[in-house]
Amino acid sequence: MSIAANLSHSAAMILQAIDAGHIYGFSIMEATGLPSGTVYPALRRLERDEWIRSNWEREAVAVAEQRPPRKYYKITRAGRTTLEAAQKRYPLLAKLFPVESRT
Amino acid sequence: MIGFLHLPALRIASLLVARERRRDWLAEWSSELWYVRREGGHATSFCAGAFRDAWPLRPPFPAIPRPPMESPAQCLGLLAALGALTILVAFALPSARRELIAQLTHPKTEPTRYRIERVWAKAPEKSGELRYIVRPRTTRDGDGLIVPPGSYFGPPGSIVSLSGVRTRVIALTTQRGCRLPDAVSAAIGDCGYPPDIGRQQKPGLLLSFVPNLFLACMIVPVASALTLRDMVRMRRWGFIAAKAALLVPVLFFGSMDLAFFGLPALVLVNLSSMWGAIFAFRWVLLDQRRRCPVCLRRLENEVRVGEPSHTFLEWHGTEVMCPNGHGLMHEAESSELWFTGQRWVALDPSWRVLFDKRNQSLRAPNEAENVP
Repeated sequence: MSIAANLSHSAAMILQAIDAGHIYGFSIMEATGLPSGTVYPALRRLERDEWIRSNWEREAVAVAEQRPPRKYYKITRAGRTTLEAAQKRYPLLAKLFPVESRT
Repeated sequence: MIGFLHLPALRIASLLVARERRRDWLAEWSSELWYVRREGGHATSFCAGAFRDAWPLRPPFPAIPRPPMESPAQCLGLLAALGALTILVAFALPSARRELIAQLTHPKTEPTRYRIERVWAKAPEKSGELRYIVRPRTTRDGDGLIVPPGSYFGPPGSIVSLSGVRTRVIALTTQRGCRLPDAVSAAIGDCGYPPDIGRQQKPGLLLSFVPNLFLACMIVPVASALTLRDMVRMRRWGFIAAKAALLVPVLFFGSMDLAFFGLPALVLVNLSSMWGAIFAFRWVLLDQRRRCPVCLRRLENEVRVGEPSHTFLEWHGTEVMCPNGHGLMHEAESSELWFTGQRWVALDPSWRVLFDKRNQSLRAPNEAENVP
């Protein structure tokens, strides 16, 4: 069984959204249209499987802009391999969220 | 949800999260809530999702230790200990002990010992008129009165005067121990049943307990999913009988223990023994189904086998294994399969080497030596 077969469609959408530059929870919710009760648990699972990793924004940056710091998610190398496999399984996935920027 | 409740809701949800992850989890959700509010999103539905996110992050529940019942000796020992515990509790609790003693020291009826003699006095209001006195035929000097509780208020041993005759109250009748017929309000002699009391007395606890057990034995095979064929195939009837026998005192004295809470013992015994016996006897059969028919140890290593879509030539259900390697028990999940109920697959002695614990303990070092 391939890796992508273990990935649900929702998880694949979230992975694709992160790869497309939606790198924090609320942004992923807006991009995918999925509710918070789906997005955040999926983020935990993707992070547990080491397909994404998270890091907190530097507090100084957030304070300077008078907003709370955010937790950003970034796709890993293993995550990108999984996403590529998922894109073969779900061909329309890549067209849902065109990649904005990939740093 | 009102705006000021969003953050408290997140805090409540965070209590579900394991302590080591709680702070980070709450910080992320609080931060995201700020952005949701700023963007004009639905903060309430957003916060509702926090509970779904928090639930999988809860700390593991502490494992509940299972009672040691793997071997038949352990099972019978545990049931015997449970029975002893309920007996001890029954004798330790005052009300339960009183009921027990009333049952165990039940006075014997000797119908010829009493005869109606004459009217003695008027009883207090509730008891009506004191019309007859029951006097033993073998009356001796010094015998006293036995009166029902409503007609006399005071401790036994007091001297009372009835129609000018001074006599001593030697006992008060109780509802179960020594009842007098309706027409009789006092008796002379020791506590016993007048001739016509036997027909009027209510059945004792034991008399109502035994039919309940019998009824439960009839109900359990009908009410449970166990078919008669399964029961006939069960071996070691002695083990089943021992389990059932050990459960009988647990049921009886357990229901007596409930009398401590002030409910009538007869009602309790009727209710608790009936339902308790049904559940207990059903457990006896279910426990037997999960035991090896050869050694009677509990079957272990439960695994699911097959898929419901493969019912034509395959089967699906649960497979459990005898820890001593006597065989496998297949339990079908649906009745559409080519076998229903349980199926025992015996393993021949050549398999025993895999289950021998001494071999398992010896094998590990040998395997470790082969590791490069």
